Amino acid sequence: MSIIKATDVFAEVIESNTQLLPVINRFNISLGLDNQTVEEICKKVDINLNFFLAILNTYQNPNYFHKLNPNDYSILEVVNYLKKTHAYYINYALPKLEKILQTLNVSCQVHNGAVKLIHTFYQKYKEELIAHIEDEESRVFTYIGRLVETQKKESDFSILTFEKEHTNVEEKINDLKTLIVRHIPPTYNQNVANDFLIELSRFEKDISDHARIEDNLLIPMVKHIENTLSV
Amino acid sequence: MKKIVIIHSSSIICRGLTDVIKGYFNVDVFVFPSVEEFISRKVDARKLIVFTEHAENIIISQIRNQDAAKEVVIIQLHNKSESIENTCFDSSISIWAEPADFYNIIHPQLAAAETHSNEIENSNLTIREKDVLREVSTGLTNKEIAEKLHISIHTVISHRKNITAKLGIKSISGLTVYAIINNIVDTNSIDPNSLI
Ligand SMILES: [Fe+2]
Ligand SMILES: [Fe+2]
Repeated sequence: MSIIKATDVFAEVIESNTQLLPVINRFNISLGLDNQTVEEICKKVDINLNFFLAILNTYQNPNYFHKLNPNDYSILEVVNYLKKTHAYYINYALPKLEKILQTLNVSCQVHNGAVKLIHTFYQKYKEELIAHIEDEESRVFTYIGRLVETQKKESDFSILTFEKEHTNVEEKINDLKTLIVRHIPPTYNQNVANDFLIELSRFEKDISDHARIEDNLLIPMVKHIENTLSV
Repeated sequence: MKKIVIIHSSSIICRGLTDVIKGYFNVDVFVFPSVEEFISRKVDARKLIVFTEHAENIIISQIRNQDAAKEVVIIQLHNKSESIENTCFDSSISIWAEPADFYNIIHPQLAAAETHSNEIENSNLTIREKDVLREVSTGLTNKEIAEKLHISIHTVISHRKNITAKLGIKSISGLTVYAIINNIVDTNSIDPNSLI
């Protein structure tokens, strides 16, 4: 898809890619957009235009890699956005998936052990994802906050540690899809299963874009800050 | 997957037979009071072992054709004291028989269901790949698997690559779910929830 620019009519951008809807909500933008351009919206809601464009384009184009200009926006804006995304996953996306999965479980005409296993698999994945998010918030984001506040590097933690340990959270979503599409006996309500797969695919896309923002935007920005500071 | 179905109008006989079967085998037993009831509810399994009191050819073929994808073994449950022959059944047994006789009639069927399912259902995995998958799903490392199966770590890794390519599943817990569903790993002795 084409790169989103400051002068684009924002409603048109959204109409052509509904995947962006939860993303703009994280910036406190609601619908009722009229014919305002991206730039006008940013002014109105008071968000950094360059940062907003960087995020939108990350979701819009799978290969988009924002060319880092450290003066364009602050690292705290990135952290704040990532936190809002985490909250969206925990408070909305995961409970929604879980609800559909419960309905799927109940919809089986006869006891379907495989659907039960899928449920267990999902539960374990959810626990892992929540632990992943909590680790980022408690260890990484607080470190970044201190870095900005004290302007000092720390001897026991740097963003390199996070870069090395940052795990893949999309793999199991894909396995979940594969198990349902290819391997489990379909003695469930098909509409419910379809809902689950569609919701799961949306979630997979959102979370992989989120991970890309962490890897390609957050980490390089923090590295850049670390390089300008002394211990 | 192995499932046993009992179709009998006497709930006492259904309960008694369920008890006897569960005393010998770790299998799911489904009880239906009538053939209609059985046909209206699909039992999820590749192979069914069905006990029924009904002897009419037309009813037996209804049971047999309930789901073309399934292999169905039908055992007549009669109330004579001696065994009777009826060609439309795979086997027959009296409700007066000893529990051990029920064991003798079910055991070969379950064993057959086991080899059958391993051959047909997962025909896309080789026997060696299934061996590796079984160990992967019980949580062994590549090194441990290599030692246990007397193959090199390199071979284990290449089997794992092929398994993932064939099944489209990457994570160990996803592979475990697959292994349980397809009876590659024995869940009689292990709790499936602890594996995932
Ligand atoms: Fe995150
Ligand atoms: Fe992450």
